[in-house]
Amino acid sequence: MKIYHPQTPLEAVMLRKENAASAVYLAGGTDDLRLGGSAEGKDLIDLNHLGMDKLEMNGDKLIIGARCTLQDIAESDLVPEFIREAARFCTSLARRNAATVGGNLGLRRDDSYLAAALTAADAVLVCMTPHGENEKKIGEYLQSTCKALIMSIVIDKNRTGWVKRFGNTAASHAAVIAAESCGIFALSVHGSGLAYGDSPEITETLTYTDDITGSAVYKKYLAKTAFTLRR
Amino acid sequence: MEQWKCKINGETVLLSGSPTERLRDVLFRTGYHSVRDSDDSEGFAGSDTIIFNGKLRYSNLILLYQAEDADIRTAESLLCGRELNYVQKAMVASGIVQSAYNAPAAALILTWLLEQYPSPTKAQIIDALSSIFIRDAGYEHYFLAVKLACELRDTGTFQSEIAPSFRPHLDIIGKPVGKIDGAALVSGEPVFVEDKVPENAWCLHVLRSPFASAYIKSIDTAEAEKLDGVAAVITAANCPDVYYMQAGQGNPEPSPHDRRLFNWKVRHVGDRVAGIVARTPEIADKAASLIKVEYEPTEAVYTVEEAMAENAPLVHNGPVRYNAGAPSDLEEYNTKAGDPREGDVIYQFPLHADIRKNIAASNKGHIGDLEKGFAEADAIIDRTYQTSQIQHTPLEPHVCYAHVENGRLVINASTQVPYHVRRIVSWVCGIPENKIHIIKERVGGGYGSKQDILVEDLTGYAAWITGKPVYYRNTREEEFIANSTRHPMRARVKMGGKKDGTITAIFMEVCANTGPYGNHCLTVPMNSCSKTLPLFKVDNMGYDLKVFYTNTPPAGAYQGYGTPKGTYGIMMAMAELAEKLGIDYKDMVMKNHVEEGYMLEILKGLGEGREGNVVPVGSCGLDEAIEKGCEMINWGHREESGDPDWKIGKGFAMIMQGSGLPGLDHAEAIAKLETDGTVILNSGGADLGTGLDTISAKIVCEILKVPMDRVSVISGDTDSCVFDTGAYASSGTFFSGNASLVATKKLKEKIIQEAALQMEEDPADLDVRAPGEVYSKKTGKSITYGELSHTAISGTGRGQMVAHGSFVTAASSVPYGAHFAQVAVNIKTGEIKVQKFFALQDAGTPINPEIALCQMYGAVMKSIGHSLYENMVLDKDGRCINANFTDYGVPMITEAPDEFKSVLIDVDDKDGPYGAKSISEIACNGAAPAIGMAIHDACGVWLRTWPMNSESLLKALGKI
Repeated sequence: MKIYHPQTPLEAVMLRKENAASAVYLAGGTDDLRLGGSAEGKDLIDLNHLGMDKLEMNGDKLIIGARCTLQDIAESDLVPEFIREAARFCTSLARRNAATVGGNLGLRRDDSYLAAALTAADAVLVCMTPHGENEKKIGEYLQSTCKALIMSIVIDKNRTGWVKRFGNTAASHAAVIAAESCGIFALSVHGSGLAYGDSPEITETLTYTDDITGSAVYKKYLAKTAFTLRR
Repeated sequence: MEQWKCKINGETVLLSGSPTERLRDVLFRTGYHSVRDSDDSEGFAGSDTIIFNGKLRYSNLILLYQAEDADIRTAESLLCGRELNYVQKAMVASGIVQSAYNAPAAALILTWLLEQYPSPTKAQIIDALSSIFIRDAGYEHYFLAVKLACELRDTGTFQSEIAPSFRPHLDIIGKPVGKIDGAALVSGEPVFVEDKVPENAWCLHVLRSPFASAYIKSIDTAEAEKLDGVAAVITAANCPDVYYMQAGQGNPEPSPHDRRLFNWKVRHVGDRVAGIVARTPEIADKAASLIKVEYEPTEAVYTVEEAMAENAPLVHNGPVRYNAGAPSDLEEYNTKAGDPREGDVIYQFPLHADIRKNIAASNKGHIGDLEKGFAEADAIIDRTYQTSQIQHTPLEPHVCYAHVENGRLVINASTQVPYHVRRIVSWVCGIPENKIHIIKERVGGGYGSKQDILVEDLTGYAAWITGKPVYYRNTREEEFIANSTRHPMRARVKMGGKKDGTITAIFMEVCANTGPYGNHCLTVPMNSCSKTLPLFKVDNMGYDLKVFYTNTPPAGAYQGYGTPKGTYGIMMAMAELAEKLGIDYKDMVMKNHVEEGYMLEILKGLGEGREGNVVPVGSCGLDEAIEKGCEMINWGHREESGDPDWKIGKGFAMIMQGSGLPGLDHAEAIAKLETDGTVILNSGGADLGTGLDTISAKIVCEILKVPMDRVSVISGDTDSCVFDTGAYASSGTFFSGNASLVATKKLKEKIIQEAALQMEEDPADLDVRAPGEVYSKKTGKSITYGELSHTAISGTGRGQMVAHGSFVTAASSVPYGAHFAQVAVNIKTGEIKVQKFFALQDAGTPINPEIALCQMYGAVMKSIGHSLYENMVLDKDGRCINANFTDYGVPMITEAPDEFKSVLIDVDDKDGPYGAKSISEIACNGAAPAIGMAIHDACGVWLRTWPMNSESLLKALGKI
């Protein structure tokens, strides 16, 4: 196993491009280095020298560095409450201390703690590509196969909304995470992926599957019900 | 190997290794033994927790190169010399240090917490402990430990009551004084098997079956054996032709001998195919990849329904033999045996089996007249309840280290049954027991799974034939697929009752799934009846149970044995019957439960494969447990949530267990007065973290009037101790404790006799007193134990004072209790939350009350997990698809009830040591029915299948 230590985001992206088949990014490591994680047998592009670990205000925008940990999010007063709640869906403090926001999004897990909440928050990702920086709506990024490196996540600082998780236990993989913020609805469904849009009808756009988190019927029911709950 | 400089516990350290090695492995190898591994880098259980640059982190998820220049703290940093820090002391005092595999990590976490938040809130404690999985003691006394730690830090002493005290006339029995091995465990001393493995140990790797059922057509190990660094490859072709079984039960066992070390037929995914002894894991992996196995897959069965179907594929279809009681038609029966690769099945005595119908064992019986009983009923309920396959998930997986020394096989084992391990290894290896030495190390969680000889058989054999020191450790996945589990069971309960609440008849039909081998196949299902029907004062009761072989992962012993499943069925059925009759469930319970003196005729047919003892109900705290629990939970009062989607309900179940197996269990101990007047007790008992050694020590202290630090207990060592059947069937306190009592009383008698000679007094005038001396009630003279012993072993003395105690009994000291649950149920989403749980139990005299309470919390948490979340899921090919903590669904602190109380009902028992009965297994029995009833009370549906989760609730509510 080879370890690369890029010093800039661009260098990291170029390394990833050159070693597309053999290397993966390593941020917090809580997913990549876990049992059966994507780093198994791969070279590592260590992102831990790239900074990108600050929570900063810029006018009415909050800029979340991609290497901020879930615990940074959970405990920051700058972050809208429903996104902090989503970060706490990762119930283990030891894991939250290591897991990064960028890693949680970049892996495109369909039980991502943050994907639904940040998508509903209409977050914008600032990414590095081999051609330089660009910006992308988070929903578009998560539904694409884009390999750009997430550098930061930008949201409105006063964004309000809610997020709701369903899972067997608090530490199990989530079956369904639903979120809504300012008329944007988002859903992460295990085995199905992400859906978002401007109405709860997004539940109809997903193909639901039976898996360890529950039956397709169950998950579809939860997805639909989540948007009808009293708050 | 490269080196990486970092600071560990304040010292600059160079760690050696490959840059991508897990930091956990390097730390452990470097001597930081408190940093353990329970999850193979799953990032879940937290045994590998360290403080890394000021933050709690899992060291399994950090690579060595990332530790360069890091500031690391491990639990070793908490000690000052050998002195525990204030958090560790509080943990021991509160009773949470039990099997303690990750207790050092927990101590580190709580120390970190108190450094950050000197007076933490409950939410902050929960958040800190969110990183760690506790299976033994539950989480409740962790809150107490934090409180005690703060008190100790601020005032120098513990201020809060730790646990109630019992028996004021006794000095130490019934008082919360801590566990004698608590300091060693919480500080991370090298007390587990893995700590005893030398660097030159060879590893044992097991190649496992990918098929649920298949014959091995051929197996070619030649290439593997040629590899440099491979000492042996053991397969069906070269293993001993010895049939045995892995259940650690009294000999002759009520389980069939239906396996060899390796078989020509594999019977579950994960079954053993080959064992490779290699110098390193990497060589073993390579060797495994070079073994060519040709399988001939056969059809498999996974459920009792499939197993009992006409023309079902047979899991075992070889010749059957009996060591006693063979049926007269056996020869004809064996003419139907199938392929020779099936192997034999040997019964020690008849278990009413029929392997040609996949029936591994069966039993039925009744008292009274069932037909008449049901005819007299105003209403009858006939319901079926299904439980799922559950894994024990001990934090320390199954491990074994074996080596040959001076011509003897020495095995360091994490076991509940050292003497059964020795016997079975003796059978398998073909060497006599005097050539085998079993050393039971501290057990990092057993819960019944370490009652079975699942790894010691093969590890011992591998060391014996190769002469190499051999180490084996299950992966977490192997714990699920190749270990033992709770038998899935289907219990049909038919119950009839009158309008006044009198139950007129109960019939239980139990079908259990024992998996591919018959470990505990009769006795686990028997407990579903033998530890439930005797709760009822009903004249007409019957049972019919069958146990089926299938091709699922193996089943075996699990805390509570079959009782949690039977209790789930019978209590739920009673609640359903009460509803049908329109009467209050509590009134029905009170009308029908047994009381002291009631003769338990039903036990006659419910022995462990033999005729059972019919005995009257002894000491019984059932009434008080029910009344007190009803008061605590405000029974009869409906709670409102304030949210129309959330409904609140209540339920409770009465429970019972046993205290060992009267007429079958046997325990012994030796008490010795050492030359300075201290005492060493050699106990055959196997403390698996439950405080059994502390019980023995307290018994010595109480009888001989010496302080705890003057007593040491050596236990579970087959060379230095004497026979004990082991720690199972809730026998520890009752049997092993009583053996310690007998031995110590005899020692006291010898001390008195010796003192009489030395003091020239009449023994009748002498007695013992603190702090360890004999005194004359007549003359006032005294002699210390030290003086007494010194003279006794002098050149003219009469020798060391040593006493041997043996304990057997026909008495049955049954613990009783009642468990109460209040749950909130969301009728829209199906979410279920246990708001309150109250466990009230009569344990006789709780010798270690604080440890007893924690065992109750731990057992209830397990059972909440079993009832609501845990379930091994197999795919269509019999492969377990959730063989890890995250997907399997163990309960963490986030799943603990909001309000959780364990209460010890004060009842004195005439047969237990100082009136003690068992405590822990019974605590597994109440959660499922109590929660099931509470769910019904909340929203009107009965969930009759484990796990009772949100999906099953939504289905029952007709939402999906």
